[in-house]
Amino acid sequence: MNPFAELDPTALFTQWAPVLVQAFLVLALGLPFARLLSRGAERAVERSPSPEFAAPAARAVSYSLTAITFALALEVLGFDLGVLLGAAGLVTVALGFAAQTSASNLISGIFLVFEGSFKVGDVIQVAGTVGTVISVDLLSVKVRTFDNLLVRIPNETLVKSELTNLTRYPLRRVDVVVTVPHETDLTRVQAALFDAADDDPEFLEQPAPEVRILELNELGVRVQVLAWVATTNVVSGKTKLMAAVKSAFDRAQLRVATPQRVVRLVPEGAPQSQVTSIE
Amino acid sequence: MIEMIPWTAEYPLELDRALRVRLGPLELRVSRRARELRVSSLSDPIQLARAPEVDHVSPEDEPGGVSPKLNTWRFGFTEEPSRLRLAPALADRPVIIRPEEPLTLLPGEEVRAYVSSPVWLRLLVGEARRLLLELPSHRPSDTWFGPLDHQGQLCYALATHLSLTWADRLWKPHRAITPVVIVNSAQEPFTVARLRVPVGQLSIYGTPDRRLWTERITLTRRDDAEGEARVTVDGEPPREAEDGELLSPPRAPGGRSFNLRAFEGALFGRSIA
Repeated sequence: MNPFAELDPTALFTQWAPVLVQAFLVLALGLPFARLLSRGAERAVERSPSPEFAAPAARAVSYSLTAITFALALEVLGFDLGVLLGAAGLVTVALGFAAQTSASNLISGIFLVFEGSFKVGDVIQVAGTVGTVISVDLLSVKVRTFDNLLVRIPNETLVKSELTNLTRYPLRRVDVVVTVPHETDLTRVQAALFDAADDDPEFLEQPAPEVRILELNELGVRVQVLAWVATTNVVSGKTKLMAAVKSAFDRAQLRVATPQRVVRLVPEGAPQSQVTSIE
Repeated sequence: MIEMIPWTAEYPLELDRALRVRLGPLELRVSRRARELRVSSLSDPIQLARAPEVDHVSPEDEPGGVSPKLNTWRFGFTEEPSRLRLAPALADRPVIIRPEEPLTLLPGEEVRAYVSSPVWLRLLVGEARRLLLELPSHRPSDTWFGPLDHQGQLCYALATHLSLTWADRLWKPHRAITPVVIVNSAQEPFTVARLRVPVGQLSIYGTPDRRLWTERITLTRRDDAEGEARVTVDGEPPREAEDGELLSPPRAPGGRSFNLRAFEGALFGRSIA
């Protein structure tokens, strides 16, 4: 006996058509509404002090409202949401085990949002990667390195690692270290290095440049000159300071130390007068 | 023929010829070509006292010959302008004056000091006097004023005598002079090691002897504000330039009376208290 023989297509249509239309209306209204609210959230966050989190916020709102819309549509179609939620709970547990890393990244992303250590456009250094932050997403942060590579750093890594924000403050200090021979007059070296730090208008007059004597070693005396520049000029500033030190040394007829070794040739049993030194 | 810059004059730009302008260390050429203006500039820090000059030269005669410091800009036009005006402007950031010896004022004392800052040269073209380019006659060193975070500000640094009397030797052709009145209305003496001049709020006036002046500003130091001063900008040329003609309005027109962090102590970042 055909179980469908007693089904009346007209009755079926009359029974299901309104339900299907209702479910369709829920989706037709709910999905654009979810999109609208997610855009609203994105714009609101863009105007906030942390605009870099606009995209994650928009996605969070969009995913939540889309899920609610589909749940409502299923309820209209007669599905028992309690059963669905129970099943969803089981699925969530299963997914939880399978997606521990993603969950960790997601939660780490939330920590990053509240920590505010960096924003889109900042230059950061994390675990050997230096680059400009181009997006902060739910699971990862995308960084463009200076040799134009895209590096995806999982949020968990950012939370666990030491992160350096290279552009957080408006000023940076650049330095050059040179080693001069032991016999060099250090007063002349200091004067030449101060000249170098005054060589370009991009080196700030205040905070004032400094010259430090770092170390006496077998090669000579290690001396460091430090100058401050605007953060936007840090790359050119380092190069300019290096060139300025070279020019200042040339003008002052100073030279940097070069490795030297003294070899003493001592013939076996020879008197001291026959010892030869070679430099 | 070489002539001093009359700031209100208009200069013809002849086709395939160049106009040479010298103002202090700055030397530039404006060359007119078909549908194009080309500007070359060179800064010679030795020429600090050079008088402002304008004359016509051959466009091949680049300033200073081949120099690594020569900068060139090209501007394209549907129809290239045939006339050029020059205008002075004050620096595009605040100027920090650092007296060679700090100046101390006892309570109730008031002094009138003179500070001068390099002007920027504006090239204006066409009937509408459109801004073609703006260049500093002398680029001062950068400096920082305030805390090392975003509360501070990038400024220009000028070391001066902070002269308390006017003398002709203070005048340089490429600089504008600002009379600054400093008033100590606090109960304690205070020492001016660094002084911020808000040049963005000042105009430039030109006198018949081709000197450039700005309005007088008054900085009043009070007890209750660390490093902060009440700033008042006069609405007229100073008494030394009573017959001055307004050449350039302020870059950032604002109120004539406002509070500003204007003083800093001898050590960087330590405010006068």
